[in-house]
Amino acid sequence: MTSTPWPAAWLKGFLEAAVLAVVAQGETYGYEITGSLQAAGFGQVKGGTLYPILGRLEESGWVQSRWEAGDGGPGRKYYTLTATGQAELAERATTWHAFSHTISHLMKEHQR
Amino acid sequence: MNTADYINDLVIELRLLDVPGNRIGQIMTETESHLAESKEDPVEAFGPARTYARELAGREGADVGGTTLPGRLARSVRGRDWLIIIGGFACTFAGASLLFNGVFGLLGRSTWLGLPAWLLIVVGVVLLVLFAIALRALRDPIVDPVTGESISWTLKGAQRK
Repeated sequence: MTSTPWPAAWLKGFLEAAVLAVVAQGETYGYEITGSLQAAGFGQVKGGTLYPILGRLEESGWVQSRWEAGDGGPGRKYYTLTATGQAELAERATTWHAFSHTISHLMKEHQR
Repeated sequence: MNTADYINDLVIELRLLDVPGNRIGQIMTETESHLAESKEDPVEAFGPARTYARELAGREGADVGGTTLPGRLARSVRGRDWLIIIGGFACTFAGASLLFNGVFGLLGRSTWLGLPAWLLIVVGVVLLVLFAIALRALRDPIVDPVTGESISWTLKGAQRK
């Protein structure tokens, strides 16, 4: 994770939710997810960080995957969001919204 | 480091951590596929193979002992493996002894406990075949997630068809 205006700890804490949100946009695969995260302002997320997260999301049943033969190269693993994944994402989005509202309210006077 | 060398190191580490063969096949393919597209240096993208394997195996602090490969291989041998080694030795020794005893019995020598030679030969062959079947069944091949075929892998590296 490099060259973003956000503190590293925030990115780390929200990466899982961000990956869930990217998969929610439609079927996608590992390398494409790194591109989407970068476009979303998450900076460059390394494969060594992303794949263990995808593994955990799959173990939790929030995403499901299928393999497809790559063109010439090795196969690609495509991920889609499951119904429970959709519910989890909605839950996190709601909680995040309430939390950010609370913190914004608390820090309102100090904003430059 | 090139991708093939990195993948081989990663497979050794995952094997040492007892990760099942089909999961190793998935990790191999996933990692190769990512590196093929991102064109990054494997260590840069995934970190050292040993660290990454431990994270994937869910055993971050795991240490399979020692720093040399032979030492770590020896320490990773599980109870089940010792059972195969000892059981296999007993099975093949008994099988071969009975077989030879039976064959010599056919040639006119006295057999063990005066048992019929054909019986000794049959039991001997069955013991040897059982061991061969057990060995095959206990193999945990690395499976290609796309084709479903096993990937032949030795310490020299993977041989994809």
